Amino acid sequence: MTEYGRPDAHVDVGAYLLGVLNDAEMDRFEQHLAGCDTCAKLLDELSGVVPALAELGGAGAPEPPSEEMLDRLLDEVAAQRRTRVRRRWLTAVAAAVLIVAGPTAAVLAIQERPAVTGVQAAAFQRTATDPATGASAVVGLTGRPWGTQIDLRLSYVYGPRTCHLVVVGKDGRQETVANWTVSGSGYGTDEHPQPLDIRGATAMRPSDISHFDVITSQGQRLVSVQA
Amino acid sequence: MLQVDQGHSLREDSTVEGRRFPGRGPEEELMRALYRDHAGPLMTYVLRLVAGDRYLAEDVVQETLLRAWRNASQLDPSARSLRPWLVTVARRVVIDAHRGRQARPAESGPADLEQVPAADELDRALRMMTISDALDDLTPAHRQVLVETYFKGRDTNETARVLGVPPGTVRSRIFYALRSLRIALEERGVTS
Ligand SMILES: [Zn+2]
Repeated sequence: MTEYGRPDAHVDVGAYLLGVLNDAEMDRFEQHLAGCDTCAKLLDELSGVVPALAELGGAGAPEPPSEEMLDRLLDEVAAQRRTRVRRRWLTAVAAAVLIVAGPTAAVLAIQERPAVTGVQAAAFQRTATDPATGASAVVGLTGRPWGTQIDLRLSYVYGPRTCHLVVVGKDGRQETVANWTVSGSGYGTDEHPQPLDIRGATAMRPSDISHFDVITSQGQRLVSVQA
Repeated sequence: MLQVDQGHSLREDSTVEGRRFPGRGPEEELMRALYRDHAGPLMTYVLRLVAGDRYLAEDVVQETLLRAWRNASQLDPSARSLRPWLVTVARRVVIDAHRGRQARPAESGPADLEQVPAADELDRALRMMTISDALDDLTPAHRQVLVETYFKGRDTNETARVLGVPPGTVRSRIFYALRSLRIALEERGVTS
């Protein structure tokens, strides 16, 4: 009666209840069940468990969230904490302004925690820097019922020029999902430190995307980001 | 007077502290607790809500937990009362995701959800999350054998090959998994 040799006949009641015995095993178990009071009792005892499992079905096996989710959540906590430290300083400045500017400036000091938006709010983030052009990109991918929301943050790009973002599918399909111009001072540069934030969308699912290319109107690839 | 001692000056700056020891501190502890206690059961519920779209479900669960964390001052993260709040917010995030589709025809799916769940739907969602909690009480081996057989539709012999154990082991694991699950469900007041 070991687990590894011929198993205890009674334990098959579990697999029988779940309906996962093959035909021969099922026949064998039913013959056993016909003469076994223990199994009749076990069948009764465990039968309520299967409907509870059935309540979880319908959308496939219950899958735990990915481990990366906790990392992303903790990243958000860290990012928002940094924002708040900065705001505490801003609040001090605002309080100083208050003396001069009067009550209306008090609004400045009362702020909600900011909503995380753009590339930082995306479910998945990918980054790349092109060693030749120096351009640096962060792409956020967020799965949506209609496809994928794409958030692009671009730094170290210089103008004037026009660029576009191309999504390349694993099947080789290409789609331009955004167009924009870069002025002379550029984005994420010494002259203009603010990076460029752009949003695009594609009907492709995140798992169908191979990579993203930022291309200039002259056809030069500034940076490529793997999905 | 500020010392030129690195260790001391680092401790003065909470942002540097946060960067040196990521994952410490009460804010992180709160987020870990939210994730540990609710991410799995919430995923089970949301997967049903979005018809099994895993990418979308992950987004929704992540956003919901983030909102819970942001509103922590008004919520008790350990209380049972947090679950109805999470269910309501998760539904709203799903609705917003659907509103976000641009100029695409409505597909069948959760697009017609109401902003606030009806009482019986909320009950069903909470019950589902409780069953998911009970399943999480099982040992990994017991949980796995139920997932591989019942949820993935494999018989015991196929499962034995997948898991690399004798078929008899699969059958006895199923039995003991069901017994443990029955107890876990009873402890949580789930009756059929
Ligand atoms: Zn028996």
